[in-house]
Amino acid sequence: MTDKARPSSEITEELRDWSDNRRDDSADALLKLVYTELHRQAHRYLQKERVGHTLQTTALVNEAYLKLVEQKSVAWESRSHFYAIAATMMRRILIDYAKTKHRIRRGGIHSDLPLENALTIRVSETDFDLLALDEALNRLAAKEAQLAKVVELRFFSGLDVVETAKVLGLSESTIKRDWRMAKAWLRRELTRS
Amino acid sequence: MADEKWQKVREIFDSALRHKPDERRRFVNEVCGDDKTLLAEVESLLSSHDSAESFMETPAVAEVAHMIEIKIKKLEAGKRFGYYEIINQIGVGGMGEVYLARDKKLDRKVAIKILNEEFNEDQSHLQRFVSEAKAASALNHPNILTIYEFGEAEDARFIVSEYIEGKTLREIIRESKLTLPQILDISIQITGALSAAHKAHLVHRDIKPENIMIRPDGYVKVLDFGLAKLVEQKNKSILSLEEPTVRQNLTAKGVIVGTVNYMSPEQAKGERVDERTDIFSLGVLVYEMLAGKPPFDGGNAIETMGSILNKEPVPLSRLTPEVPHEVERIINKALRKDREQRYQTAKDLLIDLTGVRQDLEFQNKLERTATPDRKEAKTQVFNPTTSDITPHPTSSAEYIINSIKHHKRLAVLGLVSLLIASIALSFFVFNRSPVLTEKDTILLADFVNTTGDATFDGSTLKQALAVQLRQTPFLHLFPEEGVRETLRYMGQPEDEHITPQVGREICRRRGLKALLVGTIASLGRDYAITLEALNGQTGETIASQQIQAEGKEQVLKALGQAALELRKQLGESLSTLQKYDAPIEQATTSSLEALNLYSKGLELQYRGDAKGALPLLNRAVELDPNFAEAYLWLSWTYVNLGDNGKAGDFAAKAYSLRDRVTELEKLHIDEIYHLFTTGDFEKQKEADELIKRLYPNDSLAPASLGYGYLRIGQLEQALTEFREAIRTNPNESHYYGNVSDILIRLNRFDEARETIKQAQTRNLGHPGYRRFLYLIGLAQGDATEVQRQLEAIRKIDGERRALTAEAGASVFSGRWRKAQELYHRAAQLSGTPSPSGTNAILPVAATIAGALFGFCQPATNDVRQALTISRLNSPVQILYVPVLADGSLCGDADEAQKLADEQLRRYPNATLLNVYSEPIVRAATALQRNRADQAIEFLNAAIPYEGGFAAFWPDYLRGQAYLRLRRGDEAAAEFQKILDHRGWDPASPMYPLAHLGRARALSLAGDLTGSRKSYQDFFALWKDADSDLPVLIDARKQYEQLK
Repeated sequence: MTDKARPSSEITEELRDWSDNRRDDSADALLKLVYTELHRQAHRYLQKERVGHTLQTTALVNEAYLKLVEQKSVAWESRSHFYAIAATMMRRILIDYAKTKHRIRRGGIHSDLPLENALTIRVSETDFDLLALDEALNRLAAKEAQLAKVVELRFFSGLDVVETAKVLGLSESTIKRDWRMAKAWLRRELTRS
Repeated sequence: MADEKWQKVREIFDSALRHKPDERRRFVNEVCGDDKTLLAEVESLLSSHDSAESFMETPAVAEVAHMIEIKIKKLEAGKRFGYYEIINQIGVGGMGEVYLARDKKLDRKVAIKILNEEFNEDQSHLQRFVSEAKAASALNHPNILTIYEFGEAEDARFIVSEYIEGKTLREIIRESKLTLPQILDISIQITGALSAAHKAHLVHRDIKPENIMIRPDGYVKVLDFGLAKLVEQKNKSILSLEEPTVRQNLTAKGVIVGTVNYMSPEQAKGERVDERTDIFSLGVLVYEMLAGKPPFDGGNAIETMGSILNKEPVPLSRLTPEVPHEVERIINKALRKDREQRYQTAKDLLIDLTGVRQDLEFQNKLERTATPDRKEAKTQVFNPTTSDITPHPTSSAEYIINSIKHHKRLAVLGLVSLLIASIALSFFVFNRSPVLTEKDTILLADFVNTTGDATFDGSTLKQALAVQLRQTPFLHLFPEEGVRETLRYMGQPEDEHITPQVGREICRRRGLKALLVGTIASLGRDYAITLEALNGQTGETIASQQIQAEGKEQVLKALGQAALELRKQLGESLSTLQKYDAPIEQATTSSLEALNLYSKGLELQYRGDAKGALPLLNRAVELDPNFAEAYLWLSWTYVNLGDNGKAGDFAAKAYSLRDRVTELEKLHIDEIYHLFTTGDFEKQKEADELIKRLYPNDSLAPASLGYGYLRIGQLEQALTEFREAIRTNPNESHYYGNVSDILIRLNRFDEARETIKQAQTRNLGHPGYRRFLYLIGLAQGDATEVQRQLEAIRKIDGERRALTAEAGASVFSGRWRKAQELYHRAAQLSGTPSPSGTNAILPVAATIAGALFGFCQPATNDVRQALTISRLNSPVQILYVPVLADGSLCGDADEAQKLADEQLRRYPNATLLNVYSEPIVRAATALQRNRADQAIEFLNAAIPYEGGFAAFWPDYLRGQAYLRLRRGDEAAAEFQKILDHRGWDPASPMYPLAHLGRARALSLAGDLTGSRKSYQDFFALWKDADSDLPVLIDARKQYEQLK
């Protein structure tokens, strides 16, 4: 959170002013931010080589958000809306990566993949299947959308509890509760199959 | 599970967790009471919770961090990616990331788009996209972004395309309001691109301002053909933001990201799209450019789509009253919701738009005439329409030869022929072609050989057939360069066999009318030969011939007969059939083995391997000493190897056998014979003009002609001819070099540079390009550019070329010792007795410069050696070397005269000898005998040929002669002419020396101020010159006296 000085209400107001047109541009800009952010996270993650298990992240924080705002090309209705979209995008991107990875690991279509590249992809960092998780998350969203949103923000965009609470405008304890519930439910879904 | 139940589960779960672990069970049991399902649910969640501690605590990115990292690492600036070096990222779009990179091989900037991984998934869609994008790019339309390559590396798919410096139309619209002429111009260019694409049945599907780039010179490029479809098919992905039709529910609230404003009604309805969809989108675009806002805009995507389907746009005239009625009518027609009522083709739209523009221009003209000098620039700003992408200038002689050289024959072979149809009309009406028309081009596939006899493998029979078919102007064979280019786009190696399948694909991509497939099979000792002409698009048979050959010896003859019959079947008239009927076995060879070697030799030539071709061709003529075609090719092979002498010998041999060959080959033999054996441009011109008339699709004839004109300074004609050559064969890299050379000679430097860029845009490369850019840099005094090109030459074209180029620049600035050293090193590198003509000339070049600077050195031997090798096409300057130096003659005039006489005796009709060497050597001799007046008279003969091979020599000598005669004004005028025509030879030492000559002339004429100024100009150019050059020491002395 680099720009704490700027109250979020003001941002939202500014947003409204600028939201008259250029939806397409803001989409591109957002995508770019999302990618940049993912790259940064990935990079940082690898740098640390898992010293401590969490990824210190300020994913898609105000810095990125404000950049968008400065471009005066934002049509996003509000800040939380913005984060929600970004988080969903990150989820999709990551899942897409995971799909590719799956395919490679299984030696499927990509038989023409050069060996050394195939080898650089290490075994799974997590002990579960991301793709299965993705599907389970969809089911969870049908039960309670907010839980899924929390998972997207926490797990897929790498926000911590405090950040997630801010983004969603909820209390930290609510987020903690949601997170705990979602984890238990998803975990069970994954072990069931 | 019902909502309530879920809520209940959550509540109990949360409460349970507030209890201590060992109390939870009891608590849950209590709360759930009899509800066993609820109990089971909560318990399983609790136990899951207990084991879920680390679950999902590592963010998802960790799982794929390595993959993301690979991608980042690969693309940092300076990173090599194949032979591309990443410069920086220039954008991120829905499809992936775009980088600016440098193609190290061809030394040009490219844009690389790395497709997001998700597109890897569906191979078949990806394939379709790739082939569509390639097809669009293969149209070679100036307004369609050219794709160079599709590739896959490190798990990423990427697209390499030309790099456009410019802005998207979106940015342009945002920044400023466009004028009507600008809008029309942009629209016309886009429509032109669409028209070409539609003709090849390619629909863009996503025309919008973000997909249109405008270069600073006003050139419009349409991007991303085929991409939209890929995205559509990939619609479940969130990344497809660029994609037009698909709703993307990014959030539960249902936000649609992406542009829907340019969607057509049929897209909004999710119906099949066709060409008319693009027309609608274009209509939206033009409307928006004029009105400043899109015609359909509902605030959000859903509403916008609604208004696309149901609402009529606000009439343009209400928003911008100044828009002409006709323009409004055109846009309305493009925006019809029912596609049946829209413009049916982009071509129709194009015609209307062009019409409006013409009317407006005409009106403007009228107005301007009425009220002089009012806002004339208005229409000018954005003028570059497709038609005036032209190129320009000229320069060094050596290059040109090379240029025609190499490819000359390639082009010839490839070029060719047209099937003229008798019933062209019926084709258009019924969309079937029973026969071919003269507009049609056909492709020859390799022979399908099922005999098991290797003699018939490869291109042996195909080459024989090509010779036979090429002879008639009725047929136009698709050129070899085109085949190789298309293969490149198809991602195939350039020497890929043209199987019927590959052939069909090429036809489809290039819109070729027919594919000719030959088959040979054995029937016991006999052979069955089938020739079949297939419709290039549908694959349906248009004509076919089968013939049986009794024994191997008869195969060629039979093939010839079959070909003749096929020509008849395809609709060729009896008169041309009779006129162009050289039998195949005579026009080529009756020896299958020789034919086989010849074909292999040709294949190597096509691939630029002249050295490898040589032994094969030599062996072919050993087997059949009457194989005229093979001699012809041998001649070109030697030209390619830089040995014009041998080239002349073989051309003479081919000439002696010319009665045997086909009409076209006969003319080409005449051409090369006069080019390299007699040097008689008049005769060469006759042959070329004839080829041009009979075979309008032959690019070689105009190129040879252009070269001939260029050599004798007829620059405008030369330009016309080379442009014609490019029109006929836009894939020949040399032609662009030649055009550039001519434009340089005409001082049209920017156009020259533009021409080279244009060639590079087409993926063409040639060492000459960099040398010309280097010369342009020199001529424009752009030291940075000179340095940059020099580095490029060194890196890409090799040390020898770099040294030579650098030596030229050193000579120019009077650093003679450095030049000598560089020339020396260059000559060493090339290995002295190599057959390369340029090599032999190097020492001569150093000596010439020395002579001009006041160091006389005997050069006769060097000159003799150079003459032996390069003969007629050696830069004629070498004849002058022994003759003169600045002001005072140096060297042996008699010896020079003797050399010139020898040459002339040997080649009495050689144009260059007659128009340049003869007058110049005589003039020099006269000067040495103190007969300056005679010298001037001799030189008058060279005046009509200024700007050609002899560059500044005639003027320089005339200037010197006038100085001798103390006719200051006239001398000054001669030197001034040199100063006005820097482009004739941008690196010539005579250019700085012309300042000196002018200084002396003006001082003679009494203009001391002007004289001093010229001295200063000279000193400025020579500020780094060797201080002991006699010419410089003299100049300083004279300047001092003047003060």
